[in-house]
Amino acid sequence: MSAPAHDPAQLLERFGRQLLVPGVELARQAALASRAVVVTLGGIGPNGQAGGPDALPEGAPPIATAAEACLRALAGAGYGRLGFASPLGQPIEAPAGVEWLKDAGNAASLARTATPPLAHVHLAVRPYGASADVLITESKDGWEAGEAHDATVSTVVFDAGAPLAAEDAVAFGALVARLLTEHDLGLEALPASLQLRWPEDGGAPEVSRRAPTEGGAEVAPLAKATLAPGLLAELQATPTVFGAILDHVEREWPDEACGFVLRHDDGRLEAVASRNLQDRYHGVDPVSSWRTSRTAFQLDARLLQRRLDEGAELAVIYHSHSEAGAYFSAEDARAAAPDGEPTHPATRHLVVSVLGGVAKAAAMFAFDGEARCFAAERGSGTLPAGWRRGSHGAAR
Amino acid sequence: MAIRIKIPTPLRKMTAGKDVVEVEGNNVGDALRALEAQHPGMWTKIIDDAGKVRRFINVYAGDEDIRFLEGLGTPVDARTEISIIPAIAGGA
Repeated sequence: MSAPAHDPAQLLERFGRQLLVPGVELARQAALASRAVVVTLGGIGPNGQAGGPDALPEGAPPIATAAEACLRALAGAGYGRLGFASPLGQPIEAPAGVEWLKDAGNAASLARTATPPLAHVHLAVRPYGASADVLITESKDGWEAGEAHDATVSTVVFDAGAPLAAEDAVAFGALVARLLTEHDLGLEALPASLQLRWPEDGGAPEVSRRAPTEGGAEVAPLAKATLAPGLLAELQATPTVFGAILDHVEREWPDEACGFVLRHDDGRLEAVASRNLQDRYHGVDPVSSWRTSRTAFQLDARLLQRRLDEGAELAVIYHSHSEAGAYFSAEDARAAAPDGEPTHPATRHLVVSVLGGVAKAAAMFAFDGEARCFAAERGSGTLPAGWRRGSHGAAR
Repeated sequence: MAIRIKIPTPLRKMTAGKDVVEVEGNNVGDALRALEAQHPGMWTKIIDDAGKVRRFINVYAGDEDIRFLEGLGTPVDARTEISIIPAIAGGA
């Protein structure tokens, strides 16, 4: 492997060595004890598409090693509930105290362990090295699936200029754990993006931080849903369409999924699944597009344009939040209304919360021209417990 | 040699409602500068202060986003249609 020689000892010294030493004392150890952290693995497919169970490249073993180092460090730091899910079978020996979740498809188990899903760490192999997406739900006391707690999203980019080398994997995993524990799962302290990049000559890594971008329209709290019930209710009354959306977002978990709903001349609704192109954008420019598909989406705009050219109306743009609530995030608002004006004023936005691989809540948003903010339709929230088994299940 | 640039709905107020503008140019950057000359203000709607395509705007040469080609230096000819399309994106 032609990876630059990163000295693991130097990396650990700088970023996380003490977490690998048993018996380390952390000032806030007690505060961590009741929190849940789930670590999952992913990769990137041959065409740059989002990673998933079928898309793990040959670099997967080093990322499993990184996960093991991360879990050991977290276990040593006193985390009370640790879960690990992997599409690779069981590639590592889970450290003591870590709940083995069999695989990413073992949704029920993961959902149980991850409630409250206070932190989800998704480690993935990338063309330049590796990334860790850290998503922390902003609730210290647990939450119900239908509640709309925001989440703090961080992406750590480990830019080695080459696939992750086995000798760097331990350092990377420990580094990610260090970032979590050092900040006590700090909701505001974690950088939005941290990039470590090695110069060509193999010297010390450059570390750059990138704060969240400002701008975009305001979003009203979900609890103050002001819009009359409308498209969400209509979608839910059309099980073939709504069911297709839920199937799609569950299939893509733990990545975000996206798509749109067209309304045809005769009033008929049609759900169209798009690829999530975010990893492709992240791949060519991990600095500007610092999020990966784990915490962001980029819809295939050409697909949408082709379908709109056929004459249908764009009723809804949908996307999922993985291990996070069905809220309209600041990033969603920035993208939908970069200058404060919505790009598609007549289109509504559906956000589906997917926890442990299961769609749990859905909320429909629109730009309220009078209040000058995005607001939710009443009726947004937890999906009725029997909804899938009843209406949708019967419709399959 | 005329290059066709497709204008998205939110920017048509700057092109007197036109959905396609024809310009001259050998690459995407030249074509967008020619668009700016015809319709002042368009450049800064598409390109940021650092000279890169704005974060939530995608510029396509044919079927591909120029970020995956040669950026503003991507060559174009009369067979290439340039499309400016607002990104549909977001995240948790």
